[in-house]
Amino acid sequence: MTDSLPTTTGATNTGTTNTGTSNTATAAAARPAGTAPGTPGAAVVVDHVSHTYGRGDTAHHAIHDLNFEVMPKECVSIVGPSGAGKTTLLRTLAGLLQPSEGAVWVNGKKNTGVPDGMAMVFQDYSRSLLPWLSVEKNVAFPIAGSSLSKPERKALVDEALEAVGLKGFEKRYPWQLSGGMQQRVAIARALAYRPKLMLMDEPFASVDAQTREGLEDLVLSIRDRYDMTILFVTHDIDESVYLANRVLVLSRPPATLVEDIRVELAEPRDQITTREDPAFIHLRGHVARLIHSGGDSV
Amino acid sequence: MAIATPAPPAPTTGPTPPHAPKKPRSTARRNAVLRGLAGVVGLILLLEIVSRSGLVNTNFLPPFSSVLWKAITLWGDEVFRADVLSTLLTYVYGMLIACAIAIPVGVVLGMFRPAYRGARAIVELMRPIPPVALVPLVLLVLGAGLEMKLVIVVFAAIWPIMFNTLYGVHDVDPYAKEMARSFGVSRFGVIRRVVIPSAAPFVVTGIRIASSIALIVVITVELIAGGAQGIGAFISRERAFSDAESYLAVLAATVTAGLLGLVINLGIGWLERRFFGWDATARGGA
Repeated sequence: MTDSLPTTTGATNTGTTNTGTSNTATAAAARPAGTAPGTPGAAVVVDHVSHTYGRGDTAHHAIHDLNFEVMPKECVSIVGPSGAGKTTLLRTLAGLLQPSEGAVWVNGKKNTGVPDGMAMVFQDYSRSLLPWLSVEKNVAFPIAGSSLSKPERKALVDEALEAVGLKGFEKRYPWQLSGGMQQRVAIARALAYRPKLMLMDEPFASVDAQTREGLEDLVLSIRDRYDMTILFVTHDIDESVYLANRVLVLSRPPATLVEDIRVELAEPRDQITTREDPAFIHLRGHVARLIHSGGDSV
Repeated sequence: MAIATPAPPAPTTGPTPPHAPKKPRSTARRNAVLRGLAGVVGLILLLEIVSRSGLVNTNFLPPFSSVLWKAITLWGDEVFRADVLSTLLTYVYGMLIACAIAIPVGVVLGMFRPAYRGARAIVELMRPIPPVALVPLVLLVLGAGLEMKLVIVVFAAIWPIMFNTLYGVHDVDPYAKEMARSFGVSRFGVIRRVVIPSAAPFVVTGIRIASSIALIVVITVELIAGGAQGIGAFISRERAFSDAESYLAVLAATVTAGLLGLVINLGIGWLERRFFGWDATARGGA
């Protein structure tokens, strides 16, 4: 079904204003200054984003003229060959990296730094959790400096820990927990922040297969519960299809968008039945072929 | 009688069962302490036997029991107490001043590479200067009072604290800083909430190293500069009498200085384990 989507252009699913326009200036002139390009109300608009690390002979052109948008409450996975600039793209979305060219708009505002209402879950939980803080203090980290009252903060932390199934572990320290549990703490920390947009950078790359399935279902459950837009980078093709409403396939660097695939599998997803659904098998095969060809014509 | 008391479960005579719980850490620690004590007691006994057997002149090596007794009775001496207090105060003030200077400087040098490059030449020039070599100069400027001792001690204690802070701050995982930034934490917030707590175990290790150096330097300065007060000054005065009794007092004061250093070191080690148990270096080592 999704196979019928055109596979030629990187701008397959971008909004109306900049489709087919390679000149950012004209696209910008077509709308009032300071407003986001693309569909009004889009959670994320990636507008002609390119990034090059370094300069001269050693320059690495990581991503090239990426254009796409993500609507609120979508769950979008980003896949591509290793070193395809997936993480670069995510860091640009998070405002941790200013792209060399183009701009990212989150909730209608152009990223000049870290956008409001965005939380990120990092790949390496053992490094992203702070070892000197207990589980509850780690989860409270993003809201500790906020104007919320102490009971309000505690309620957010309790709810987040409950959502990831870690009630009763508040006083433990991260290094006393298993890897999967540590990543749950990291997810709870993102949830306590009540983000509108959650970015995940290969969140389950360092846990074992069973733990991984549990964490995937956790993401599906919190997506429904918290009404978030989720963008995640993964190198696992099955995971990219299983979790997402859309899969963005990137090419080898300089990364361009190879295909924007809509995933219309039955909800709620299930580790067993979804994975044996012929549509799922067909999609994962399609994504795998795209990645293996590395963005060359399929 | 063993039957009458509610004895702990009888120890198994055979080999340990395969799933016997691992020894708790506290037991392992107690064993280590006991072995350490055994070494100390052994050395004391050896000294005692060698001295009492007449192998060496008892004037040079009085029995350890006499030295220990002297060290205890010295506490009755008001002058000696004032000397110990003076040494300790100099040490404490010196450490406080050294921390107040070295920690902020270390944080700045660790965070900002250009600052480090700028300061490096000066630091590398000053660091190899033996603190005691500054005594004549400082004596000329400040006289033989507390200020003179403080300047030297601070100079000696600054380096380990500053360098450990610098390395600690520099080694903070960029990943953790990025995590904090991704939640919109400000630049200063990242320093306060991530960099400083993360570097704290390094800083405390620096303080522990500086602490033993500081105590040595205080007493050395008191010895050579002939100040009015301090354990070093006490030793210097007693030595001048050069009789058996004053020789014993010199040894007793030396032992007291050693014990002070030991107690301070143990105290800081305890603080490290108590507050930085999360840090792998504190958990594994110390």
